Amino acid sequence: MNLSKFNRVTHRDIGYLIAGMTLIYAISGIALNHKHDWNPNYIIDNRSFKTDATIERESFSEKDAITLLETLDDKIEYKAFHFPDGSRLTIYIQGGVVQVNASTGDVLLQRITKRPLFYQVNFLHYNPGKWWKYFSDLYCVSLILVTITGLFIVKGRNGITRRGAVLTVIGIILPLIFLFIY
Amino acid sequence: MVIGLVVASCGSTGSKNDSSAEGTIESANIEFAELIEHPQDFVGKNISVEGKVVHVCMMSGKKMFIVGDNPDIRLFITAGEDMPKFPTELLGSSIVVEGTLEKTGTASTEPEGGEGMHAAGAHAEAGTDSCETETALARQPVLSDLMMVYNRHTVK
Repeated sequence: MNLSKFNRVTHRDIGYLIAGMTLIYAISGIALNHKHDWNPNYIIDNRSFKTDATIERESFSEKDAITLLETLDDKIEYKAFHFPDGSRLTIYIQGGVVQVNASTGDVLLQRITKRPLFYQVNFLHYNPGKWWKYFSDLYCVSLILVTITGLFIVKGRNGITRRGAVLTVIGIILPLIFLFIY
Repeated sequence: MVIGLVVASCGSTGSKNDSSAEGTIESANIEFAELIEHPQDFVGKNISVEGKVVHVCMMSGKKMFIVGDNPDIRLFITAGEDMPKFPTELLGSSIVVEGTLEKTGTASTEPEGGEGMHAAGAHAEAGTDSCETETALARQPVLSDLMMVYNRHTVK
């Protein structure tokens, strides 16, 4: 096998191997890039209510919490409650929370569900453990290999010595422009 | 691959009742009140303490806060490198959590840079006293400079 064929085969086979990982990192990369615009991991359904119940930190009980929840929705399953401070109450329910402003009577029911697909790819993107870290290191090395071998796949006027060189230089200059801008 | 991930989503990544990071070692069971009373006695030690989960970071999932009988004193639990993430299902649950108590900033923790507790913006963090949890922790008379590096937990 000559060098050109070895290069092509290496590029092809590693490319197949890392296709799944590339999609995982690409999808989660877009999702996490916009994490200030949306929650990429969870779907949070917010519903607002008002309550005229008297809520006092010192005397509030589990029974009071359940009574309050029943006024919102019969299907809510109570877990626990907590006062982060004197006037704010958080009631934990199955699949969400209820936040109450004891001073104003404002109630916010938040139901939290995992965002399908994105939760899983983001989970992997965040390096869930030591072994994934090594696995993703291996992926990065493979990505470097695919990139380098990819440069030398095509010969002639579309190869790295002519058109390929121009496009490669553009690809290097573009991030450098952002580096100078920022 | 996408089908595989959707199938995986039917499972539960990190949502077990009992979970653990690698390398579990013996721990001393202590009361939350005892921890509040003499926090320095437990620094550097592997301990187990029971508390109610009042906040879980919804971005990286690497931060969790529990309280004991005193709702104003939170203990910051950091997942460390070997624990994938804390499931939000733990919110409101009473758990026994085991880990090593360390001074804030001395452990190998996942940097949150703008995530988790700070991910307000368009989606204020659900589940509790929200992004204000860390601020509240910093104002505490005790445990504000300490964190537990998570090892394992059991839901009560």
